[in-house]
Amino acid sequence: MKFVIVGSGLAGVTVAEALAKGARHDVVLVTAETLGYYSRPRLSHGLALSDEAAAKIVLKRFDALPAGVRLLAGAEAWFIDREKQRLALKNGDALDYDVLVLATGSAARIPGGLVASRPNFMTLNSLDDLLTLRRRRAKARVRTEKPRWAVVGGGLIGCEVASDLHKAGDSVTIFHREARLLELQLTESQSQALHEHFTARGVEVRYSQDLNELPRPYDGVIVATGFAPRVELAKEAGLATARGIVVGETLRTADPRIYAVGDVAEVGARLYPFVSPIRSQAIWLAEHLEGRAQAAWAPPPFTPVIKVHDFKLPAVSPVS
Amino acid sequence: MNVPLRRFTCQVCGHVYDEAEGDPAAGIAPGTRWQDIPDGWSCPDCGATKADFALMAA
Repeated sequence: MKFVIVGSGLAGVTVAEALAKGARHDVVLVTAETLGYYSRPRLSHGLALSDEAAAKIVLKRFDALPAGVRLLAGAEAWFIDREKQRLALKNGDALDYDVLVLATGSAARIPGGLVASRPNFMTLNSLDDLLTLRRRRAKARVRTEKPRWAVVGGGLIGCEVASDLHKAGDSVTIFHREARLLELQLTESQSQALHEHFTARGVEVRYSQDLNELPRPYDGVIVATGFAPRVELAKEAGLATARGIVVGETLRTADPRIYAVGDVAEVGARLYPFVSPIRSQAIWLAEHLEGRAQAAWAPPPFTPVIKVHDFKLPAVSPVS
Repeated sequence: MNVPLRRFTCQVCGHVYDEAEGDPAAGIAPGTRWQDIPDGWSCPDCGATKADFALMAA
């Protein structure tokens, strides 16, 4: 069997490694990334780290992948020819597949009001983004001891990066659209505890900030207002998409030869953008593709982790 | 017999669980052996499950 997998995040790499075991299949992994497999959950705490520790965010260089995985790094998928079962790449190459696995992950979602300001703010969605931010911070520190940051978004990534910049010694203001932090993950009293944690440390939080222009003056603005699954490949191929690529409980699209897994997969009208369910999906999918998984994929119990330095969530069960 | 304290690493994000240190933020006291950590415990950095950790060579 020839498997072509698009994307080298947790989902894509886990599927590729599992399928490569036993060397019975031809496994090709296509990725726009160039450095290696890295831990996305760690990116939001990658600012206070030393250069040496930050380099360890890359957990596995691409040349350390199992021999059975043929890797095409720095390559972007362009379109799917479903009839010919062929994936075209932007560099002009094409790959034939028996099964295509879309593990294209997600991009940073930018609020409409800020799209026009795009060159003047940063996001934290990829290792490249982190490296850009670290360079930007180093540059700011040439001019000032304590760079001032605006973090737009009081969700998971916004709170985590604000906490990390504060730990690194910088001044941080969070601009949140809603009336409380992490309103999707926390109860009101937990949000309040997080608010108090931040303000006690000098991190300012401003609420009801639906911005149409960038806050100023700051040494840097980071926009962390959610994620957008990369559905374009599937959409242009005529497959159903909603927030993500619509798949059934076997992670299969309406095309029996195309699957989606990870951030980009919308299963039963839900996305599962967290480590545990994504790893579970990837391992399950590899078994399914080898004919070993019988029942449908079912999400494991999981609790999203909120990584704010020195903050312990008060013991109230989070809203689901 | 004293079994030496061990370290386990999260295969997803690289976080290290050191038996000597435990995970006090999650109520796991220093010195807690790997097998005594409840199955519902998850990686404090990325939320991966206990099963996603592997023993590190000493």
